[in-house]
Amino acid sequence: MEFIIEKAPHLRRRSSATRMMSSVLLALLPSVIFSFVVYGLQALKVVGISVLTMVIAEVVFVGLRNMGPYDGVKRTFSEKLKKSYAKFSITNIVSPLVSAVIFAMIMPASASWYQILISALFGIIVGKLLFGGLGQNIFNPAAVGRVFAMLCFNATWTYSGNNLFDVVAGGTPLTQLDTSLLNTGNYSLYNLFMGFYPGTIGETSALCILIGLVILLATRVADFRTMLSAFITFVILILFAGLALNAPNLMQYILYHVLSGGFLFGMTFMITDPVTTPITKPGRVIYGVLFSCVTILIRLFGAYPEGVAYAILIGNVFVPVIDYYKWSTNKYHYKHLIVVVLLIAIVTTFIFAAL
Amino acid sequence: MIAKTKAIKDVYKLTRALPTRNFVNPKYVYISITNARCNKAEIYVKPGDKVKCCQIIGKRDGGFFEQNIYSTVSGTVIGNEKHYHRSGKEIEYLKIENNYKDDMADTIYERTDEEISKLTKDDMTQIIKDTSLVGLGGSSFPTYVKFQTKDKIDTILINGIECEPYLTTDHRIMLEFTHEIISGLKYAMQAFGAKRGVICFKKKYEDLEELWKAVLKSYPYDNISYCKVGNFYPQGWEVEMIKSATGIVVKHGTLPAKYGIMDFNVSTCLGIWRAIKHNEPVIERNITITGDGIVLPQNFRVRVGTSFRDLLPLVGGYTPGDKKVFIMGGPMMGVTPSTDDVILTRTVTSIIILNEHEYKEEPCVRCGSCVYSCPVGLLPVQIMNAVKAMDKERMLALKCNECIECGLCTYSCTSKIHVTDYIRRAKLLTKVMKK
Repeated sequence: MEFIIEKAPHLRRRSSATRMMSSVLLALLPSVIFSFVVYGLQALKVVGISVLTMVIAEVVFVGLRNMGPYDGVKRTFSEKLKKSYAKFSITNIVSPLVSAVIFAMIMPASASWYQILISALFGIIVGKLLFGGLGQNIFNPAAVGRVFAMLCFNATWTYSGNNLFDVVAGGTPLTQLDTSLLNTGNYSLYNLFMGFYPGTIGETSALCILIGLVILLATRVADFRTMLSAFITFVILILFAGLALNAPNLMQYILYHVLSGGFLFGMTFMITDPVTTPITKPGRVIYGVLFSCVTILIRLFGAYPEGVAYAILIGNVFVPVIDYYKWSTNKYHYKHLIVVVLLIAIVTTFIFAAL
Repeated sequence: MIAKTKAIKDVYKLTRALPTRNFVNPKYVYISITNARCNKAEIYVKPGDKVKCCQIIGKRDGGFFEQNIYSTVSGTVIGNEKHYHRSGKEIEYLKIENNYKDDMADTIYERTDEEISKLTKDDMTQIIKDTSLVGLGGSSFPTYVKFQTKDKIDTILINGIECEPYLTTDHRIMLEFTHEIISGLKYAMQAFGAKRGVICFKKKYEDLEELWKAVLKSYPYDNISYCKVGNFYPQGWEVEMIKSATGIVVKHGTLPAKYGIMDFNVSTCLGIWRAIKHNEPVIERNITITGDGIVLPQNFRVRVGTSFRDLLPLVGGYTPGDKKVFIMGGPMMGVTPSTDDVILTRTVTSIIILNEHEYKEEPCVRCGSCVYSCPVGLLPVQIMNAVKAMDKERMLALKCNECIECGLCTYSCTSKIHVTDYIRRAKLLTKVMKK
């Protein structure tokens, strides 16, 4: 009889990082199906290329890393490969898969294969692998890839639908919104909710995203605090914007902003990525508020109609600051409230001063 | 999974309803000469001597923790032998052969109620010191030190919560020694001049509620009540228990006595009764032997100093499989010796034998479950990163020394990282590192 020596505690909760990421994939499934239905083979191309690129990049990277430094033993290449792949786990596949599907969902169908490939490579390498792989990255890899694509290839894209809805070349409804802020656009709220308007392949359908949101919350993979604080802040700020603009139909104006563009998708799948969010409850609330504030600023005053990806990256920059050990705490404190109110107040001032 | 761990799943409700089996007459008992707190001792007997039950056979030196060593059976001293202790170390034991007569030492006598009612706090402190009673919930902190407090105590809490999964000893003690526990509580209330006594247990145990409801009717004038507290872990930690039972928050670094509260484990309370009523040290205790690694999980009442190997046939031996995890204490805080050659000293609450399990560690995904679960409100993952960076300043700023090592951060970790171990390392490093 052999007795194993181990340190207390001797029990573990039934959960794993792989299972957590698989739940995210499950939650993404409705959006993926929606994109296949609406965009057909074009969506398959976007998802396929980004998945292949990111997974292969991560597998190669992890393989190289697992080989480790020279340890005094001469090995042939095949032995090195054996050694490195012995340490492989399913996490190394599932983790880039999640990033890749999220990245694909926020790309337009009209992007060409090399654009997707280059952007996906940039996203996974610069956004994740250079920092040391899973758990070490500061930036959301999908957002990094998206911003890279937006900066490099935006002019070549047309946001167009299929025969399911009218084809409008050249921009999302938010582009229209940007030019004629008082006009609430040509698309009905029903179409916006169902996703029948031009945009990226996965982020248009609010319905599919909400199904994903329910799955995320039910499997307890996403923190509702981040989502809730981001959503409430967004609604408040858009309300102020509506008031400042004297929008004729305030309710419709708010719904329009919530449903169109990438806000819902970013709120559900991107700012809840645990690796790039703060680890404390108040930190997560502040992060959500920050995300919405930046999104609003870019939407209303920026050169781009859509600011979610930028807002996520800017929020990511502040995560180490929020988590700094000298003030990071898991208990709510009035100082956290001050930060939140201050953030909202600054953006509100902007809104009322500039609009 | 991003979620706070509230309760630890009682995977095996193995021994909760089982009666206690007596195994109070082993052939040999082994009395530890030293223990975790006292590393020197003086022994008054030599091999071949006849000893009586409850006879003082030595003294452990440890300043504050100095205590008498009692023989727990009557019989003949055989000599010294090395076995494993609850702390995980191999230490010397005095082996005594049992003559099954239980000849009691002369110091044992039954105090009448009248005598007891005249005892002052100092008298009781002295009795408890002489009988070397310690905290039997596992802390082994000398009870007389608690009795020496100068603070005014108005509430005495009896801790029957037993928040760790698998353990059922306190549950069985409450069911089987109900009146003795109440007497012990009354003595403690008399000593401290406390106004009320409260017995705390988990609210999910309806049998205990029925029990106390029925029993306390017989003690209408003693101001003893019961309190149902939460089912979560670590509810049995005194700070959590006091918070649930009285609403008072005990700050880190202060004793509950400062707030007028004194708390004892139910086994300790039983020990107080035994010491005051019979002038008797702890010679028997309840113990749970459970887990999926043995055939017949059982509750036992054993003689202090019994060897686990003597008990092994009674639990039907080990289940098939070569590798077992042998835990002394609860599954969340217990230690694993490298052998089953252990002695059941008076502070061993349970032995848990689990089949081999393997937890595959993944990279930290910063899900925050450890932060949400920490009962002290620390940031375990941040402390872990500070340990990796060897940053002493950050470890201290994150208050790693306030950790109670309940193990919840490891338990709830999504990636199965042993976070608690990093915090133990942090505690050590803050003492060892110069800068």
